[in-house]
Amino acid sequence: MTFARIFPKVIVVCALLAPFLFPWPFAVALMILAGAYEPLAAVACGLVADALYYAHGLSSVPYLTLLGVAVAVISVFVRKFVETRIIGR
Amino acid sequence: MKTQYSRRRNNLITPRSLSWGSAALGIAVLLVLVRLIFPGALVAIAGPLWSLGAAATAATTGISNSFGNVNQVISERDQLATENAALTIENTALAQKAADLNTLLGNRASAGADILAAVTARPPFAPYDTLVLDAGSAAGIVPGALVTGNGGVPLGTILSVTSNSSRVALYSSSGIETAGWIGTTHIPVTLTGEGAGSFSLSLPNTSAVAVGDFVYVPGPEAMPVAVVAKLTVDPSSAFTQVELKPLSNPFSILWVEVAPHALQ
Repeated sequence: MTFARIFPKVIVVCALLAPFLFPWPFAVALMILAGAYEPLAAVACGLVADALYYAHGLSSVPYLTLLGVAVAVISVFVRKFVETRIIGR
Repeated sequence: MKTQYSRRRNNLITPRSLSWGSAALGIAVLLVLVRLIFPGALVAIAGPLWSLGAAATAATTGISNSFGNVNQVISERDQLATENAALTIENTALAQKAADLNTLLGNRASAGADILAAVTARPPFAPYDTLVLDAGSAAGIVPGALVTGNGGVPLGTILSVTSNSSRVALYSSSGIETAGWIGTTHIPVTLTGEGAGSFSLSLPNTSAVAVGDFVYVPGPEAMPVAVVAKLTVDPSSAFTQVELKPLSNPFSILWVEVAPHALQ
């Protein structure tokens, strides 16, 4: 198994563990990186972070989940409209 | 000639990505369900990982600090030692004075013993400027109780409680407004949390506030939370922007004390 194939999986695992282990800006950076490879992983990372830290009395919106969804949508958009066009040439 | 698109490349979600992405999403949904159904269990699961993360951060900070200027660190240490000695003497005198006054007048603040709790998660790990404590309703913590740090500095109030854990909303949480006072004349102000331990505050230009004045919030008595670090006067505005330096750094809080009753 080559590094190129292992790397996305390692990033997804690291991004899922990041909300437990790293300061949240670093966790968000890993979430974006994981989202570039696996769109659903970005949503998952946002959900994990909000499951751990979301406090209803402080914020009416789970921002990290929304950020994860936004990253996933952008990732899918990029794959669909950019990558496919480049491949189609 | 008709362009040939690779069917496999065009698939947005391939079986391989589905397996990893959906597995991650499945774990996340499971954690959300645990948080909703058994909120205390989630803190128990996350506790060891939080400890590991805090230890790793401390180790990293220690390594990065070792590259700093040694002479500057020694100078700061000597200065702090001198200040510490002076403050110890002052503190002893004030404690004696407080004890005398309590004997004379009675202590209205002693409503009950505070509950000691360890902080298992804090900013910058927690993005919403909250603290997660390892003590909950089983230890007597109730929602709305005042949480104080080292030296009795108020940090926030209890937001939610499970049997063995609780969450603290810091006064410095972004957008949270807290009524208080500033200066020796106790001018009423509203502190607005800016996140990461910082506050913002603006006062009329006519207010008699100086650098070094303390900002207080209500508790058993007026309790200092920050000190005025800088006053920015804009001639075109009727208000002075006050920069505050918090007395407690939420990034390094290890232990807190929780009042046994909710704030009124």
